[in-house]
Amino acid sequence: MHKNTIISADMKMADIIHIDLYNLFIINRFGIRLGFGDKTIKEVCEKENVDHRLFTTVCNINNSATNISKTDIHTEHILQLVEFLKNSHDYYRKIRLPEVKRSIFNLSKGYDANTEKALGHFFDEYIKEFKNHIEYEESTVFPYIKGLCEGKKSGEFSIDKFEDHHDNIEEKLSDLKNIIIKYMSKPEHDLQKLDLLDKLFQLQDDLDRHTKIEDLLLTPMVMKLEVM
Amino acid sequence: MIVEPSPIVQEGLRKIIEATPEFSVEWTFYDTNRLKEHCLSHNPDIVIFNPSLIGMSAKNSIRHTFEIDDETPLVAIIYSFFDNEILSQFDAEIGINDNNTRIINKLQTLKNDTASKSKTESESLSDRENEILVAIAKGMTNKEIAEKYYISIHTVISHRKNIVKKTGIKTVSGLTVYALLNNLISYDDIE
Repeated sequence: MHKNTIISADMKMADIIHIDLYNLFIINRFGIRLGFGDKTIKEVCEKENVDHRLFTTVCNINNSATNISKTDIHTEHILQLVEFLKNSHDYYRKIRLPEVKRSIFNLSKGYDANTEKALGHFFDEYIKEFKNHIEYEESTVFPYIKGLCEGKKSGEFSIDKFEDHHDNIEEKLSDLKNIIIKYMSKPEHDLQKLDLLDKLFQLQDDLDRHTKIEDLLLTPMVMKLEVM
Repeated sequence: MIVEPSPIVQEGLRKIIEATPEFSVEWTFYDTNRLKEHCLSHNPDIVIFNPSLIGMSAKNSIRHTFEIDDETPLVAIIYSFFDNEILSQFDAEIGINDNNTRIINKLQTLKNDTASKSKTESESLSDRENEILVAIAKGMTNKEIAEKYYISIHTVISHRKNIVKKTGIKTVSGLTVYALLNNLISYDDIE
Protein backbone atom coordinates (compact mmCIF):
# COMPACT_ATOMS: atom_id res chain seq x y z
CA MET A 1 0.00 0.00 0.00
CA HIS A 2 1.30 3.44 -0.81
CA LYS A 3 0.46 7.01 -0.09
CA ASN A 4 -2.18 7.41 -2.76
CA THR A 5 -4.25 4.46 -1.60
CA ILE A 6 -7.85 5.51 -1.18
CA ILE A 7 -8.87 4.84 2.37
CA SER A 8 -12.15 3.01 2.87
CA ALA A 9 -14.05 2.13 6.02
CA ASP A 10 -13.39 -1.61 5.75
CA MET A 11 -9.61 -1.16 5.99
CA LYS A 12 -7.86 -1.86 9.24
CA MET A 13 -7.34 1.25 11.32
CA ALA A 14 -3.80 0.19 12.18
CA ASP A 15 -2.84 -0.11 8.51
CA ILE A 16 -3.60 3.46 7.55
CA ILE A 17 -0.91 4.78 9.89
CA HIS A 18 1.64 2.84 7.86
CA ILE A 19 0.30 4.41 4.68
CA ASP A 20 0.89 7.92 5.96
CA LEU A 21 2.07 8.91 9.39
CA TYR A 22 -0.21 11.94 9.23
CA ASN A 23 -3.20 9.62 9.60
CA LEU A 24 -2.02 9.09 13.15
CA PHE A 25 -2.66 12.75 13.86
CA ILE A 26 -6.10 12.49 12.27
CA ILE A 27 -6.94 9.51 14.47
CA ASN A 28 -5.78 11.40 17.51
CA ARG A 29 -7.64 14.59 16.65
CA PHE A 30 -10.89 12.68 16.21
CA GLY A 31 -10.40 11.62 19.81
CA ILE A 32 -9.62 8.00 18.93
CA ARG A 33 -7.11 6.24 21.18
CA LEU A 34 -4.47 3.82 19.98
CA GLY A 35 -4.72 0.14 20.89
CA PHE A 36 -7.49 -0.79 18.44
CA GLY A 37 -5.95 -4.14 17.52
CA ASP A 38 -7.10 -5.41 14.13
CA LYS A 39 -10.43 -3.60 14.06
CA THR A 40 -11.54 -1.89 10.85
CA ILE A 41 -12.05 1.85 10.55
CA LYS A 42 -15.79 1.35 10.62
CA GLU A 43 -15.67 -0.73 13.80
CA VAL A 44 -13.36 1.65 15.62
CA CYS A 45 -15.36 4.70 14.57
CA GLU A 46 -18.64 3.16 15.69
CA LYS A 47 -17.16 2.38 19.08
CA GLU A 48 -15.81 5.93 19.45
CA ASN A 49 -18.93 7.64 18.08
CA VAL A 50 -17.16 9.12 15.10
CA ASP A 51 -18.90 9.16 11.72
CA HIS A 52 -16.78 6.80 9.62
CA ARG A 53 -17.65 8.56 6.36
CA LEU A 54 -16.41 11.85 7.76
CA PHE A 55 -13.30 10.11 9.06
CA THR A 56 -12.38 8.55 5.71
CA THR A 57 -13.14 11.77 3.84
CA VAL A 58 -10.71 13.67 6.04
CA CYS A 59 -8.05 10.97 5.56
CA ASN A 60 -8.51 11.02 1.80
CA ILE A 61 -8.30 14.80 1.56
CA ASN A 62 -5.01 14.55 3.40
CA ASN A 63 -3.63 11.76 1.28
CA SER A 64 -4.59 13.76 -1.82
CA ALA A 65 -5.95 10.50 -3.15
CA THR A 66 -9.18 11.88 -4.50
CA ASN A 67 -10.83 15.08 -5.30
CA ILE A 68 -13.65 15.47 -2.90
CA SER A 69 -17.02 14.85 -4.50
CA LYS A 70 -20.32 16.50 -3.64
CA THR A 71 -21.60 13.31 -2.10
CA ASP A 72 -18.87 13.58 0.55
CA ILE A 73 -20.35 16.77 1.94
CA HIS A 74 -22.69 15.56 4.68
CA THR A 75 -23.60 18.16 7.18
CA GLU A 76 -25.10 16.02 9.93
CA HIS A 77 -21.73 15.40 11.56
CA ILE A 78 -20.22 18.82 11.01
CA LEU A 79 -19.76 19.38 14.75
CA GLN A 80 -17.46 16.37 14.84
CA LEU A 81 -15.35 18.10 12.22
CA VAL A 82 -15.36 21.31 14.26
CA GLU A 83 -14.19 19.31 17.26
CA PHE A 84 -11.46 17.79 15.09
CA LEU A 85 -10.27 21.25 14.02
CA LYS A 86 -10.32 22.49 17.63
CA ASN A 87 -8.17 19.54 18.64
CA SER A 88 -5.71 20.48 15.88
CA HIS A 89 -5.57 24.00 17.30
CA ASP A 90 -4.83 22.60 20.73
CA TYR A 91 -2.04 20.52 19.31
CA TYR A 92 -0.48 23.60 17.68
CA ARG A 93 -0.74 25.59 20.89
CA LYS A 94 0.49 22.88 23.22
CA ILE A 95 3.00 20.94 21.12
CA ARG A 96 4.04 22.44 17.80
CA LEU A 97 4.61 26.08 18.77
CA PRO A 98 6.46 25.41 22.06
CA GLU A 99 8.56 22.87 20.19
CA VAL A 100 9.63 25.42 17.60
CA LYS A 101 10.24 28.01 20.29
CA ARG A 102 12.56 25.63 22.13
CA SER A 103 14.48 24.90 18.92
CA ILE A 104 14.84 28.61 18.21
CA PHE A 105 16.14 29.13 21.71
CA ASN A 106 18.68 26.32 21.32
CA LEU A 107 19.92 27.73 18.06
CA SER A 108 19.99 31.40 18.98
CA LYS A 109 21.87 31.07 22.25
CA GLY A 110 24.94 30.19 20.15
CA TYR A 111 24.71 33.62 18.56
CA ASP A 112 25.20 37.12 19.90
CA ALA A 113 22.62 38.78 22.11
CA ASN A 114 21.20 40.81 19.21
CA THR A 115 20.41 37.79 17.11
CA GLU A 116 19.04 35.91 20.07
CA LYS A 117 16.67 38.75 20.92
CA ALA A 118 15.67 39.31 17.31
CA LEU A 119 14.83 35.69 16.61
CA GLY A 120 12.99 35.34 19.89
CA HIS A 121 11.01 38.49 19.22
CA PHE A 122 10.24 37.43 15.68
CA PHE A 123 8.78 34.14 16.76
CA ASP A 124 6.86 35.63 19.69
CA GLU A 125 5.15 37.92 17.21
CA TYR A 126 4.41 34.96 15.00
CA ILE A 127 2.88 33.06 17.92
CA LYS A 128 0.74 36.07 18.79
CA GLU A 129 -0.65 36.35 15.27
CA PHE A 130 -1.14 32.64 15.05
CA LYS A 131 -3.08 32.52 18.30
CA ASN A 132 -5.19 35.48 17.23
CA HIS A 133 -6.13 33.59 14.13
CA ILE A 134 -7.18 30.40 15.85
CA GLU A 135 -8.98 32.32 18.56
CA TYR A 136 -10.93 34.12 15.86
CA GLU A 137 -12.01 30.77 14.47
CA GLU A 138 -12.94 29.48 17.88
CA SER A 139 -14.80 32.55 19.05
CA THR A 140 -16.53 33.52 15.78
CA VAL A 141 -16.56 30.82 13.12
CA PHE A 142 -17.16 27.72 15.23
CA PRO A 143 -19.98 29.20 17.37
CA TYR A 144 -21.61 30.42 14.16
CA ILE A 145 -21.55 26.86 12.79
CA LYS A 146 -22.96 25.53 16.04
CA GLY A 147 -25.74 28.09 15.81
CA LEU A 148 -26.55 27.01 12.25
CA CYS A 149 -26.86 23.41 13.41
CA GLU A 150 -29.38 24.51 16.02
CA GLY A 151 -31.35 26.28 13.31
CA LYS A 152 -30.23 29.78 14.25
CA LYS A 153 -29.27 32.13 11.48
CA SER A 154 -27.23 35.04 12.66
CA GLY A 155 -27.37 38.10 10.46
CA GLU A 156 -23.84 39.36 10.90
CA PHE A 157 -21.55 36.56 9.84
CA SER A 158 -21.53 34.14 6.93
CA ILE A 159 -18.89 31.67 5.85
CA ASP A 160 -17.86 33.64 2.77
CA LYS A 161 -16.56 36.27 5.20
CA PHE A 162 -14.29 33.60 6.56
CA GLU A 163 -11.59 34.34 4.09
CA ASP A 164 -8.02 33.35 4.23
CA HIS A 165 -6.49 35.09 7.20
CA HIS A 166 -3.46 32.85 6.98
CA ASP A 167 -1.48 35.03 4.55
CA ASN A 168 0.78 36.94 6.86
CA ILE A 169 1.25 33.96 9.15
CA GLU A 170 2.41 31.88 6.22
CA GLU A 171 4.78 34.57 5.01
CA LYS A 172 6.41 34.84 8.40
CA LEU A 173 6.96 31.11 8.57
CA SER A 174 8.50 31.09 5.12
CA ASP A 175 10.70 34.08 6.06
CA LEU A 176 12.00 32.24 9.08
CA LYS A 177 12.89 29.22 6.96
CA ASN A 178 14.72 31.43 4.47
CA ILE A 179 16.63 33.25 7.18
CA ILE A 180 17.88 29.99 8.62
CA ILE A 181 18.60 28.32 5.30
CA LYS A 182 20.25 31.28 3.62
CA TYR A 183 21.56 33.73 6.18
CA MET A 184 22.69 32.00 9.33
CA SER A 185 26.17 30.96 8.48
CA LYS A 186 27.78 29.51 11.58
CA PRO A 187 28.61 25.93 10.62
CA GLU A 188 29.07 24.82 14.23
CA HIS A 189 25.32 25.15 14.73
CA ASP A 190 24.29 22.94 11.85
CA LEU A 191 22.57 20.40 14.06
CA GLN A 192 20.46 23.02 15.79
CA LYS A 193 19.54 24.51 12.41
CA LEU A 194 18.58 21.09 11.13
CA ASP A 195 16.41 20.50 14.15
CA LEU A 196 14.66 23.86 13.83
CA LEU A 197 14.09 23.48 10.10
CA ASP A 198 12.69 20.01 10.65
CA LYS A 199 10.20 21.42 13.17
CA LEU A 200 9.30 24.35 10.92
CA PHE A 201 8.61 22.12 7.94
CA GLN A 202 6.48 19.81 10.09
CA LEU A 203 4.49 22.76 11.36
CA GLN A 204 4.05 24.12 7.83
CA ASP A 205 2.95 20.75 6.53
CA ASP A 206 0.44 20.33 9.34
CA LEU A 207 -0.97 23.82 8.73
CA ASP A 208 -1.26 23.24 4.99
CA ARG A 209 -3.30 20.12 5.57
CA HIS A 210 -5.41 21.87 8.17
CA THR A 211 -6.20 24.68 5.73
CA LYS A 212 -7.04 22.17 3.04
CA ILE A 213 -9.63 20.54 5.28
CA GLU A 214 -11.14 23.91 6.13
CA ASP A 215 -11.30 24.94 2.47
CA LEU A 216 -12.39 21.70 0.86
CA LEU A 217 -14.63 20.26 3.55
CA LEU A 218 -15.67 22.68 6.28
CA THR A 219 -16.50 25.64 4.03
CA PRO A 220 -18.69 23.68 1.55
CA MET A 221 -20.44 22.00 4.49
CA VAL A 222 -21.28 25.34 6.05
CA MET A 223 -22.44 26.75 2.72
CA LYS A 224 -24.81 23.82 2.43
CA LEU A 225 -26.14 24.50 5.93
CA GLU A 226 -26.58 28.19 5.17
CA VAL A 227 -29.03 27.56 2.34
CA MET A 228 -30.96 24.87 4.18
CA MET B 1 -0.10 43.70 -21.23
CA ILE B 2 -1.11 45.28 -24.53
CA VAL B 3 -1.60 49.03 -24.90
CA GLU B 4 -2.92 49.64 -28.42
CA PRO B 5 -5.64 52.05 -29.58
CA SER B 6 -6.87 50.02 -32.55
CA PRO B 7 -9.31 47.24 -31.59
CA ILE B 8 -8.42 45.28 -34.73
CA VAL B 9 -4.72 45.31 -33.99
CA GLN B 10 -5.20 44.71 -30.27
CA GLU B 11 -7.55 41.77 -30.75
CA GLY B 12 -5.38 40.30 -33.53
CA LEU B 13 -2.27 40.48 -31.40
CA ARG B 14 -4.09 38.91 -28.48
CA LYS B 15 -5.21 35.98 -30.69
CA ILE B 16 -1.69 35.41 -31.95
CA ILE B 17 -0.16 35.54 -28.49
CA GLU B 18 -2.79 33.39 -26.84
CA ALA B 19 -2.43 30.68 -29.50
CA THR B 20 0.77 29.70 -27.69
CA PRO B 21 0.68 27.90 -24.37
CA GLU B 22 3.62 29.96 -23.15
CA PHE B 23 2.05 33.44 -23.14
CA SER B 24 -1.24 34.94 -22.15
CA VAL B 25 -2.60 38.46 -22.39
CA GLU B 26 -3.65 39.56 -18.94
CA TRP B 27 -4.54 43.20 -19.52
CA THR B 28 -5.44 45.31 -22.57
CA PHE B 29 -5.80 49.07 -22.85
CA TYR B 30 -6.92 51.36 -25.65
CA ASP B 31 -5.37 54.45 -24.07
CA THR B 32 -2.97 55.38 -21.33
CA ASN B 33 -5.54 56.40 -18.71
CA ARG B 34 -4.94 54.49 -15.51
CA LEU B 35 -2.04 52.65 -17.15
CA LYS B 36 0.35 53.82 -14.47
CA GLU B 37 -1.77 52.43 -11.63
CA HIS B 38 -1.99 49.10 -13.41
CA CYS B 39 1.73 48.85 -14.07
CA LEU B 40 2.44 49.62 -10.45
CA SER B 41 0.02 47.18 -8.95
CA HIS B 42 0.29 44.28 -11.41
CA ASN B 43 3.87 44.48 -12.58
CA PRO B 44 3.30 42.77 -15.98
CA ASP B 45 5.94 40.41 -17.44
CA ILE B 46 6.01 42.15 -20.82
CA VAL B 47 4.42 45.43 -21.96
CA ILE B 48 3.50 45.85 -25.62
CA PHE B 49 2.89 49.51 -26.33
CA ASN B 50 1.95 51.58 -29.34
CA PRO B 51 4.29 54.63 -29.34
CA SER B 52 1.68 56.79 -31.08
CA LEU B 53 -0.08 56.98 -27.71
CA ILE B 54 2.55 59.30 -26.30
CA GLY B 55 2.58 61.58 -29.34
CA MET B 56 5.51 62.52 -31.53
CA SER B 57 6.57 65.46 -29.44
CA ALA B 58 6.76 63.65 -26.13
CA LYS B 59 10.34 62.86 -25.36
CA ASN B 60 9.57 61.76 -21.84
CA SER B 61 10.57 58.31 -20.83
CA ILE B 62 7.70 55.89 -21.27
CA ARG B 63 9.00 53.73 -18.46
CA HIS B 64 9.17 56.66 -16.14
CA THR B 65 5.78 58.11 -17.08
CA PHE B 66 3.92 54.86 -16.56
CA GLU B 67 6.12 53.42 -13.81
CA ILE B 68 7.08 50.38 -15.82
CA ASP B 69 9.68 48.33 -13.98
CA ASP B 70 13.20 48.56 -15.43
CA GLU B 71 13.34 44.82 -15.81
CA THR B 72 10.04 44.52 -17.66
CA PRO B 73 10.65 44.29 -21.42
CA LEU B 74 8.92 47.06 -23.36
CA VAL B 75 7.86 46.21 -26.93
CA ALA B 76 6.70 48.69 -29.58
CA ILE B 77 3.91 47.96 -32.06
CA ILE B 78 4.84 49.85 -35.18
CA TYR B 79 2.68 50.71 -38.15
CA SER B 80 3.71 54.26 -38.83
CA PHE B 81 6.87 56.31 -38.68
CA PHE B 82 8.46 57.09 -35.32
CA ASP B 83 11.43 59.10 -34.26
CA ASN B 84 14.48 57.03 -33.35
CA GLU B 85 14.62 58.74 -30.01
CA ILE B 86 11.24 57.31 -29.14
CA LEU B 87 12.03 53.86 -30.50
CA SER B 88 15.28 53.66 -28.57
CA GLN B 89 13.24 53.34 -25.40
CA PHE B 90 11.92 49.96 -26.49
CA ASP B 91 13.59 46.59 -26.09
CA ALA B 92 11.99 45.18 -29.25
CA GLU B 93 9.62 46.12 -32.07
CA ILE B 94 6.69 44.28 -33.56
CA GLY B 95 5.88 45.43 -37.09
CA ILE B 96 2.39 45.36 -38.55
CA ASN B 97 3.65 42.95 -41.25
CA ASP B 98 5.26 40.47 -38.87
CA ASN B 99 3.84 36.98 -39.04
CA ASN B 100 2.87 34.87 -36.01
CA THR B 101 6.17 33.04 -35.70
CA ARG B 102 8.19 36.22 -35.81
CA ILE B 103 6.10 37.87 -33.12
CA ILE B 104 6.27 34.87 -30.81
CA ASN B 105 10.02 34.48 -31.43
CA LYS B 106 10.59 38.07 -30.39
CA LEU B 107 8.60 37.59 -27.20
CA GLN B 108 10.44 34.37 -26.41
CA THR B 109 13.82 36.06 -26.82
CA LEU B 110 12.77 38.81 -24.43
CA LYS B 111 11.47 36.30 -21.93
CA ASN B 112 14.69 34.30 -21.98
CA ASP B 113 16.78 37.44 -21.67
CA THR B 114 14.95 38.56 -18.57
CA ALA B 115 15.15 35.09 -17.08
CA SER B 116 18.91 34.87 -17.52
CA LYS B 117 19.38 38.45 -16.36
CA SER B 118 17.58 37.85 -13.09
CA LYS B 119 19.60 34.68 -12.58
CA THR B 120 23.01 36.23 -13.05
CA GLU B 121 22.15 39.41 -11.20
CA SER B 122 23.95 39.53 -7.91
CA GLU B 123 21.92 38.54 -4.92
CA SER B 124 23.54 41.06 -2.66
CA LEU B 125 21.79 44.33 -2.00
CA SER B 126 23.03 47.61 -3.40
CA ASP B 127 24.10 50.37 -0.99
CA ARG B 128 20.85 52.21 -1.51
CA GLU B 129 18.87 49.04 -0.93
CA ASN B 130 20.77 48.45 2.29
CA GLU B 131 19.88 51.97 3.45
CA ILE B 132 16.22 51.40 2.66
CA LEU B 133 16.34 48.02 4.36
CA VAL B 134 17.64 49.61 7.54
CA ALA B 135 14.87 52.20 7.38
CA ILE B 136 12.25 49.46 6.94
CA ALA B 137 13.73 47.51 9.84
CA LYS B 138 13.50 50.58 12.01
CA GLY B 139 9.80 50.67 11.28
CA MET B 140 9.72 53.71 9.01
CA THR B 141 6.81 54.08 6.60
CA ASN B 142 7.22 54.43 2.85
CA LYS B 143 6.42 58.13 3.16
CA GLU B 144 9.03 58.69 5.85
CA ILE B 145 11.64 56.82 3.82
CA ALA B 146 10.80 58.84 0.70
CA GLU B 147 11.20 62.10 2.60
CA LYS B 148 14.44 61.07 4.25
CA TYR B 149 16.16 60.10 1.00
CA TYR B 150 14.46 62.67 -1.26
CA ILE B 151 12.96 60.02 -3.51
CA SER B 152 9.38 59.34 -4.61
CA ILE B 153 7.18 56.83 -2.81
CA HIS B 154 7.08 54.79 -6.03
CA THR B 155 10.85 54.53 -5.94
CA VAL B 156 10.69 53.37 -2.34
CA ILE B 157 8.17 50.70 -3.33
CA SER B 158 10.34 49.59 -6.20
CA HIS B 159 13.36 49.31 -3.86
CA ARG B 160 11.26 47.29 -1.43
CA LYS B 161 10.22 44.94 -4.22
CA ASN B 162 13.86 44.38 -5.14
CA ILE B 163 14.86 43.79 -1.54
CA VAL B 164 12.15 41.17 -1.16
CA LYS B 165 13.12 39.58 -4.47
CA LYS B 166 16.80 39.40 -3.58
CA THR B 167 16.52 38.25 0.02
CA GLY B 168 13.46 36.02 -0.29
CA ILE B 169 12.10 37.64 2.87
CA LYS B 170 8.67 39.23 2.68
CA THR B 171 7.68 40.51 6.09
CA VAL B 172 8.98 43.58 7.91
CA SER B 173 9.90 41.58 10.99
CA GLY B 174 11.74 39.05 8.81
CA LEU B 175 13.70 41.87 7.17
CA THR B 176 14.55 43.21 10.62
CA VAL B 177 16.08 39.88 11.60
CA TYR B 178 17.99 39.86 8.32
CA ALA B 179 19.34 43.37 8.98
CA LEU B 180 20.44 42.36 12.49
CA LEU B 181 22.14 39.19 11.27
CA ASN B 182 24.08 41.19 8.73
CA ASN B 183 25.03 43.78 11.33
CA LEU B 184 23.26 46.55 9.45
CA ILE B 185 21.52 47.65 12.61
CA SER B 186 21.75 46.84 16.28
CA TYR B 187 18.89 45.74 18.46
CA ASP B 188 18.77 49.12 20.23
CA ASP B 189 17.85 50.81 16.93
CA ILE B 190 14.52 49.09 16.80
CA GLU B 191 13.48 49.23 20.41
